[in-house]
Amino acid sequence: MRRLERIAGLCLLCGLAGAVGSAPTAAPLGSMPYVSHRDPPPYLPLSGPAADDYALGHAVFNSDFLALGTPGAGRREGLGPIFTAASCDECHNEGAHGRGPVFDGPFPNSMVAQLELLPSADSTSPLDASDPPGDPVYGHVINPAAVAGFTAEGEVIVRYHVIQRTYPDGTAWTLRQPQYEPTNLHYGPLAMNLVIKPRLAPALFGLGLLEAVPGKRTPGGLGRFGWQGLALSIRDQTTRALAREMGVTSKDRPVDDWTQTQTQCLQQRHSETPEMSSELLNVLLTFEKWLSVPQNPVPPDPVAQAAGLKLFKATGCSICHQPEQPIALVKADGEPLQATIAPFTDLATHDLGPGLADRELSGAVHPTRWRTAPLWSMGYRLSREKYPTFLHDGRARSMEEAALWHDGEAAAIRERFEHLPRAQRVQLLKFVGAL
Amino acid sequence: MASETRSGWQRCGGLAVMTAAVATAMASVPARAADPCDGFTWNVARERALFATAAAPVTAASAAGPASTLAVDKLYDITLTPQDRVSFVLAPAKKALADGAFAGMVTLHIPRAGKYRVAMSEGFWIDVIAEGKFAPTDDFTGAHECRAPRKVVQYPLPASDLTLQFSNTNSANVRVTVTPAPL
Repeated sequence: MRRLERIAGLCLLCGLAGAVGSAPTAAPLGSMPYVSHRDPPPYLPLSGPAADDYALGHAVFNSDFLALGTPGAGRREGLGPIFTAASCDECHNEGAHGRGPVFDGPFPNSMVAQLELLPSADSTSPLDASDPPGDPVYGHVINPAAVAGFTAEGEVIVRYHVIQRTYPDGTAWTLRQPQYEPTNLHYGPLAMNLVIKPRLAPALFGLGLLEAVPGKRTPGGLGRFGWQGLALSIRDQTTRALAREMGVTSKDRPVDDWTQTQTQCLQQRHSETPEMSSELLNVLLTFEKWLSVPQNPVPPDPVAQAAGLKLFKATGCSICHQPEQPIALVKADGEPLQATIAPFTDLATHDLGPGLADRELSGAVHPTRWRTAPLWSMGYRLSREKYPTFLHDGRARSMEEAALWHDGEAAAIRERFEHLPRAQRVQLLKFVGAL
Repeated sequence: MASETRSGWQRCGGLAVMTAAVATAMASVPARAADPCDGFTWNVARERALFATAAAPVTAASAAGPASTLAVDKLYDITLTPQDRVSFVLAPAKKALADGAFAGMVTLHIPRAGKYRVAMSEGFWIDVIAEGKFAPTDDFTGAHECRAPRKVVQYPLPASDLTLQFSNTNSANVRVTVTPAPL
């Protein structure tokens, strides 16, 4: 508790210091108007081969892959045999955040059940923290789909338990606490020393800009991509997802997520070369690297936003959701560029308490660190989604619920938010919702 | 959904209760005969009922011009053409690799202006074209393992004969219904 109190004091000081800090003087890089969500633009103008690669990479991103041996599949060949989605776009629709669960039931398309095997008590093998092992049978993901002739692995059902409480001013609020139940497991039981990691597809906007933030990787983890910052680069994150969630191999990840115990998968014909060619992977990465951050289609009132930013800082949210970051990148024409971006993240990982932490199969809390989620493009997101959901597993049905889930290192900030007068809570949430 | 009410935050005590609840739920992992069509976020009962009926066979056009017409509240089984032999009314709005893909166009007869849902048996890309432009979508939903239907897209549409264009599909046949969206 004393440690939390110290952090709370520090957060308060930082928050107040931020409140009197100077406003940004130059428009941050990266934000672009999206005339059509189907045609997301790059954050810098591209021409010639770079523009061609971006367009082809977008097409690869959108393309459904097909099972090995599908006549005429050409560059789309290589899906599965077990998979979660047939395309990148199926989970990250045109780069956007995935849609989380609205009700109790099976995971929606945009959500995966990742698995992490805990080291046994007598294990002497060093653990790769950035890529821990998966289940001995099911691998790193419970894949709910399979190509014709193969059996899917199973699925995960989510059930919610509603928690009702009140703010200090008497206003009621509710949260929904998820429970996850792996079911219809077709390859036998899961290992008992396993962590279930439900993960909603995050937005991919501005990934290349986040990669261009200089300096060491996160203090609490190794990388800066994914909900926990485990992936070291866009390439690392992309090839992991291709192999584990689509069953598409690449030069970096030459094997899918099936394991030696899944003998049915071993019988599949295997191509000698990666299922996604290096040429196709490179253009896909070009698209992801240059994908911009969509502007709020309803331009917010700058005066209200300035006041909202001040409150955001004073409350302490900006300690982790840092409004700006410097970047250093090389433009498509080879020229170096130094600029500022406004992602509202420190790219670091934090312990947000046991309520948000992953659970072992036994139900025990598995200490989990979360990379501060970028808040940019929130206005665009809210303009497009009827039932937006937030946090790594979509349990929060509003930004307010997401804020109320913050605990651990952020407990003091949450308490400050809870103690704000109602009008200021609304003001703060409006500010974030207009980013 | 279960529910509970407690006054005050009581986080530590609350979390202990939650942990126990999760432990109970996760320790038992029974196989459950889950309905693969449970995953929709919308009520798709009308679509589900239509997908249980006999489908009328239709062949899609491979070029602009006269095409088979779909009526609302009826199930169709549409045969498509290899995409490299199709001349689209408008280039598909969604960019994708067309290797091995199928495509085609049908006419959509909309009797009254309003919101309509197009449901299909696969997660394919569709465009609705009205007066030479893409009709904007309201929203979409889908269920991974369901094929009756797999995906539903909602559009506000004018009363007219419109073009429903399929592209980048993975199979030569797709079952489709068009239904008025519930009010």
